[in-house]
Amino acid sequence: MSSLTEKLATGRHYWQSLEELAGTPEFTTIIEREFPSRASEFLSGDRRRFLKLMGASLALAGLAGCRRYPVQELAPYAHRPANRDPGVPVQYTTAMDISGVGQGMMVTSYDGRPIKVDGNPSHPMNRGGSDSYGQASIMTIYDPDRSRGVVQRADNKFIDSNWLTFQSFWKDQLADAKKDGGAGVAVLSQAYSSPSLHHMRDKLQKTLPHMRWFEYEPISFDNDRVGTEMACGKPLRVVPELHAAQIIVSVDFDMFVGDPLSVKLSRDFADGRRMTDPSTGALAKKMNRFYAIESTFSITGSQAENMNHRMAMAGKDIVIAVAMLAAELKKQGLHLPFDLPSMPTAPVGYDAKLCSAMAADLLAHRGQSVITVGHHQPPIVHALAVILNDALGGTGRTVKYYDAQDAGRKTHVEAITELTAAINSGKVKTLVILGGNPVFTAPADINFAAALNKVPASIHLADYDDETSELCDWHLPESHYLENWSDARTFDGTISIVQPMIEPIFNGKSAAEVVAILNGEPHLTGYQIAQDTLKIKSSQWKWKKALFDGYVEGTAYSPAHVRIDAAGLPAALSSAMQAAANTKLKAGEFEVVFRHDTKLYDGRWANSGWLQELPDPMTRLTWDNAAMINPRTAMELGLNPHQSQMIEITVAGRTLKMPVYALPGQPENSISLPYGYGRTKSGVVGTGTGFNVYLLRTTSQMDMAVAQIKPTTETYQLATTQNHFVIGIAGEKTIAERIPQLVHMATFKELQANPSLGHKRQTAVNLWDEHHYNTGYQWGLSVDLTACTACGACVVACQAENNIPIVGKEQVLNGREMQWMRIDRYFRGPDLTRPESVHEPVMCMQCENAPCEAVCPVGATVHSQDGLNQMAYNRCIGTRYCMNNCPYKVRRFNFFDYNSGTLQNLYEPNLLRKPMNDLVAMQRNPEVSIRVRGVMEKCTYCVQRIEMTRVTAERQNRRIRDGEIVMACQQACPTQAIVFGDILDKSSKVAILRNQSRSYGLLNEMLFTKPRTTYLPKISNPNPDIAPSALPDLGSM
Amino acid sequence: MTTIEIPQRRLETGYDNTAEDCISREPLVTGEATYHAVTKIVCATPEARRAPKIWYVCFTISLMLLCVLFLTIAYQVFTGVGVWGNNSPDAWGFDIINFVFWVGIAHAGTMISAILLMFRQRWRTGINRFAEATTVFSVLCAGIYPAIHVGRPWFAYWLLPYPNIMGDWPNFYSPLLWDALAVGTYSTFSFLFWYFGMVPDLATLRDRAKTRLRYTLYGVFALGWRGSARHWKIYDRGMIIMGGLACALVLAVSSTVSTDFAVSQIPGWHETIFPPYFTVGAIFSGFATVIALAIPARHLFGLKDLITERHMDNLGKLMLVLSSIVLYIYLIEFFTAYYSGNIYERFAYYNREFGPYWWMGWAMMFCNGVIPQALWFKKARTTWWLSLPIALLALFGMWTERFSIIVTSIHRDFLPSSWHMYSPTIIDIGMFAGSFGLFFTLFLLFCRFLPMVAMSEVKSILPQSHTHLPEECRNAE
Repeated sequence: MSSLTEKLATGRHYWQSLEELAGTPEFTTIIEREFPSRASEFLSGDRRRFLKLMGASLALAGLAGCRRYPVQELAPYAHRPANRDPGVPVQYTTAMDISGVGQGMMVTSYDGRPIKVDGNPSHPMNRGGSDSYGQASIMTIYDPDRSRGVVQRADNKFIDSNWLTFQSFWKDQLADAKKDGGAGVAVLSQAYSSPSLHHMRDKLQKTLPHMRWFEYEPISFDNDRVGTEMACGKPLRVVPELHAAQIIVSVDFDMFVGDPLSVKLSRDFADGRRMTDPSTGALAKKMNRFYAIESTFSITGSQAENMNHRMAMAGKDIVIAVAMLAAELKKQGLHLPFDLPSMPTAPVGYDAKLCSAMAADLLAHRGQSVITVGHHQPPIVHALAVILNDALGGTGRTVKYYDAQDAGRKTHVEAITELTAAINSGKVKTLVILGGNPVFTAPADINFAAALNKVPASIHLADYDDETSELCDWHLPESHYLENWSDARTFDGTISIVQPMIEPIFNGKSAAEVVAILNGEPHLTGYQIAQDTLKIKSSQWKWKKALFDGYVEGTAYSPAHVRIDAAGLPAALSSAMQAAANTKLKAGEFEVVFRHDTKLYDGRWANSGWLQELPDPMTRLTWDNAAMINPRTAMELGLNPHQSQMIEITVAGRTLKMPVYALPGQPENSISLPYGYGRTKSGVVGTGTGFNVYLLRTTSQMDMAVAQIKPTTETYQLATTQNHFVIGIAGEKTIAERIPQLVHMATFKELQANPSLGHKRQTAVNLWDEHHYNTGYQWGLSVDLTACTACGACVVACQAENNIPIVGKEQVLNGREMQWMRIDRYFRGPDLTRPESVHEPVMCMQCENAPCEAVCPVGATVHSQDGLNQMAYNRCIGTRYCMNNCPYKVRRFNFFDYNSGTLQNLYEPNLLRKPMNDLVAMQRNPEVSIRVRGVMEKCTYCVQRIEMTRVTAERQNRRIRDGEIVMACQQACPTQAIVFGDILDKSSKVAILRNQSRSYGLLNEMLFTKPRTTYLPKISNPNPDIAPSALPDLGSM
Repeated sequence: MTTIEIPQRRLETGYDNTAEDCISREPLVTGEATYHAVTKIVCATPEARRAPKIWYVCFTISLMLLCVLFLTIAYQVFTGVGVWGNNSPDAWGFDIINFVFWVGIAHAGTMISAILLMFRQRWRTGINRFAEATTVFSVLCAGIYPAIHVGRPWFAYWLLPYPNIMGDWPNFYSPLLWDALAVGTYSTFSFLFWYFGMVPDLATLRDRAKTRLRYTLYGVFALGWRGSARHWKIYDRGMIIMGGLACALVLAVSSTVSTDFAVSQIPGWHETIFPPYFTVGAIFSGFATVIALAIPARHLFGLKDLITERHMDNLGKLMLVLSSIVLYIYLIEFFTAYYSGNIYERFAYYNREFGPYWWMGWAMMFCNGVIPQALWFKKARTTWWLSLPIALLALFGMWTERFSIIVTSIHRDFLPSSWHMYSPTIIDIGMFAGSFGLFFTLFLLFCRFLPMVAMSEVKSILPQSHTHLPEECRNAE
């Protein structure tokens, strides 16, 4: 305050702008005093007050960064700001960063509150698709458990503090640090793609020349970097261009889910497989072919043409398999720039026939084939793939390389090891941790937590007050990407501007802003930093265009020039193969493969209920992780594969007890352990779910290790949404009988020969005059099972759009999950080691003969004129008869009041409970009612979107155009497997797809429900040289 | 009052009123079968100062269970249906199982009063009153479930067609509406039938009352019955008309309840055989209940002379017939499922006997179809320690039948991805136990304060009521 008075009193100059004054720390204090304990108001304040505050911050949004007296802006909308219509959603483009890879996003905002995130349709990488992380990111911003302010630890007590106190603390620190050029200062940053942050980092580096900057990510692309360096002498970014590939070999790469490139890869992959052109109905003349070699049965592996196109083998043996593939290619005439070392004996799971067929296929499609390698495969495999791709003519065509921009950077493992060593030797006086949660994610052997305790001053910027914050002297709240100005770069370098949708709810700051504070420039706002960095002024047309487009045109890197230099490769390959071949597993020993969790990624989404409850695409597991093990192996270990028994996993003296999930298709000598679970300090949702696999990960064995497995008699309850129990032989047989009826499958060849696939439309002879839906609009939806990769983005998108609550593990165990759509998974095949898995998205079929409608005694579910099976929530009394009679079981019942209260107090009487948390309520889509307890709910084809478009169209006196209405699931789908529209309009995409003779309605042949949701069969393109899928005994586990 | 002369032949053959030969058979009322004796026996309990000790024990237990019912209902209404074990796909569980179970039990009273009345089975007079009481009370137990099983019980009345300002009618296609109407009609009707039948007996109690309170209370409910010929004429006519209507109801109610399932399209539910199947099953369980209650009642309240072995014998025979029909239906269901060739249908029945709930499927088969075949033997029908377990097992069997039909069918329906097990929670079990509390509380109160046997009707079958018949035939009916 004194300095402000000084500033005012000196009268030296008038301040240039309000921002300048507002930027001064003292001024901020005044504001903060006006709103004491601002955070608490979002917890306990009533709705009216909340809206007032929101109104204020909304009005301020125009004056980005300015926090001047909100009083003047509290005036009602008597004079409505231009272009702001209350109740009309507005869409903005922005970008989100995961592991240093930007994703182009589009945010839907209602009256100043963002409620939905989707992929930016015009973004060259995303092309409108999104993944479950992007979809779920909207939930985090309204998470009541998110960090609520600066916290300082003094004398082992945590006290609420504020930015000003931190700044004054830092002022002294900085002054101290400047004396020796920042030699005692270290920064541990998570990977950020933001040029702004890099810009600020460089500035800070100038201020403190001896400061050390480390980067650590538990899920790292370092193996790719090192591998490319081995092959071409410089680290590169690898971007497979699957749309250009006819033959794709995936080497332990779970590319369709949980990878920052998933959206692009899925879309490109699906484009090469889509059999029916939705615009013309023309049948595709070619289809890509997909082979997989993998150590974990993933949805990527389930895309392999049939079980004979997939090798399940231990992660360590994959290098041998790839080398053998190289040898096979060489044998068949491919010129390789180096001599292959002699091959060891074939590892378990290796299929020589498949290998030679694969090689022949790759060779036959030179320039149109690609080998992709997963990030947790060792560098040598990446190097080998680079060389093979290059030899096959793929470089620049089916795979693009970009220079890694941070070429001098140490690998993440090296970085964190070095940092820990530096701390332990007392060289680090001040440690700033920007984002990430290294205490949780760092390799176990370096004992980062213990080291952190030794740092005299530690500061952690994070969105949650997490495990790392707990050990730091300062915790700073990081703003959500929807709260700050920033920027991000996609993998190919395209810059996107991150624009805020809302004022920081909990007064957080972005990493770049924090680095500005570190640099002694606390007045710099994200807005200024971004503009300074990108050198585009906000007044410029280019800035506006970039905001509008969601990316800055022409900022992609130019592809790197690749020159293969394989000199050191044979030796490295030989020793890698020897090492793999010499690893003899003793009895009770297995290989364990560490992999990211498909839902929580590295653990950062632990407090996101949507992701916790999103079933894993393969295991259908929610709320937990489990050791994935082949059922046969489980039985050999004396475990009951139907029960989730606990096993003790010991890696190099570190032991972890976790439950087993018997996943058919896993290699028999390898166990997959997804990390990310087992958080000890997350929010209410995330704390205490699952098991912390990071405890087994060490610097030398970040990706795979040899472990002793000891079965125990303890059991654990895993909440899966499918197969919760022993199905028994009879059940398995009947499932096998049903799969062909439920999921129609055929090969590309069969399809070309007979496009109807022998599918005859049967018509029912009715005893009565049926209602004919032949006027107006008649909505329908088509799902292409060939394109669907089962990634689950649609499920989260539906949850976000339709205000679907989460129910918690205990309720999932009870079979009461609420997701309106689900992706069914069935295993088929005679062999537990090599099954196929098929996936089928199921949402409400909107049957014309809806079984649910007839039985509702109060008429709460009725058919609309345009063919929707609608729910009148207010009329529903909850007899649940409709749920019984729905053959697809897509109806969801509010067994409890899932919206008010928390997951912990579901079983408490709730009739008189307060409605839902105000903050959580902000995410809710105002167009969709919140369902009370005792009411049935289900998918209604996003009827709110239909009606909104109808209003627009009717006001413009026109018909709704095809493609004008987009379902939430359709919008999210990275592969565009879902198409929605008017089936009466013969030229609409959905009508074209639906009218394909092979298109089928689920169970329609038997029940004549006449569903509006139809499916296009799953087409595979097996190599004729490989044995066809032999499925004498279709079965499921 | 005339005394009856016991023919010599009967003295020789001893007390056997279960003999097939109607001439040598003991009358339906044994012992000192005078009008006064009947009144004395029946009125003894309502007029006693204290009930037998065992009554107090039973009543206390029942009241406690009743409290459990109230508490569980309150908890469920305030918290949500989730406190039960229901889930997706098992949207219905204990709620509907117990509803159908109690509705089934409710069938004996009307069946005995109405259908046996129509068939002029005079032996029914000894048991019809308390059979009707079981009907009234078990319909009450059944009626709780549809009302509270819905998600928002405070709107349960929307099930009924009534004019309202929303201009909304229920959906007349929905079997649940038919169900509400059928059960509503049945409970109203069975109460009226029971009460009207009781009016002359209440008047008897009124006339014998020794305290003001009893006099007033019985007096009010006796509706001024004076026993005039005109009263009797109206009474008889009324009872016969109501009996006729009741016959239709007996057949209609369970048939309607069965449409809850038959109209749906779940394999295992979607069966045309369901209406007769449910009706037969219901009556079967009703008779089992009557046997299970009559045996202790005749021992405890000294009714052996009014509810004789002959009654038990006849009840046993009826149970045997019904059990055989039930068994036939079980078998024909399996055949139909097999013969349909439909994989979903076949699996539903296979799963019933060999799925995870196999023991329920086999329990229903044995308890309802196989064990009651013992009733071919007279000893089993007339020995209480044989017939009581058979009846109780039949009741259990009928409960497992409802479980098999409801839960076993829906827990594995069309899409295997949705399959899920069902298991009841402690609240489910508490509520089921509580419904027994409600039933027995009411039943024990009835035993204690109301005429348990229809005195006027029993008197009408005493030999001396038929003095115009030749003596040889007076005891035959």
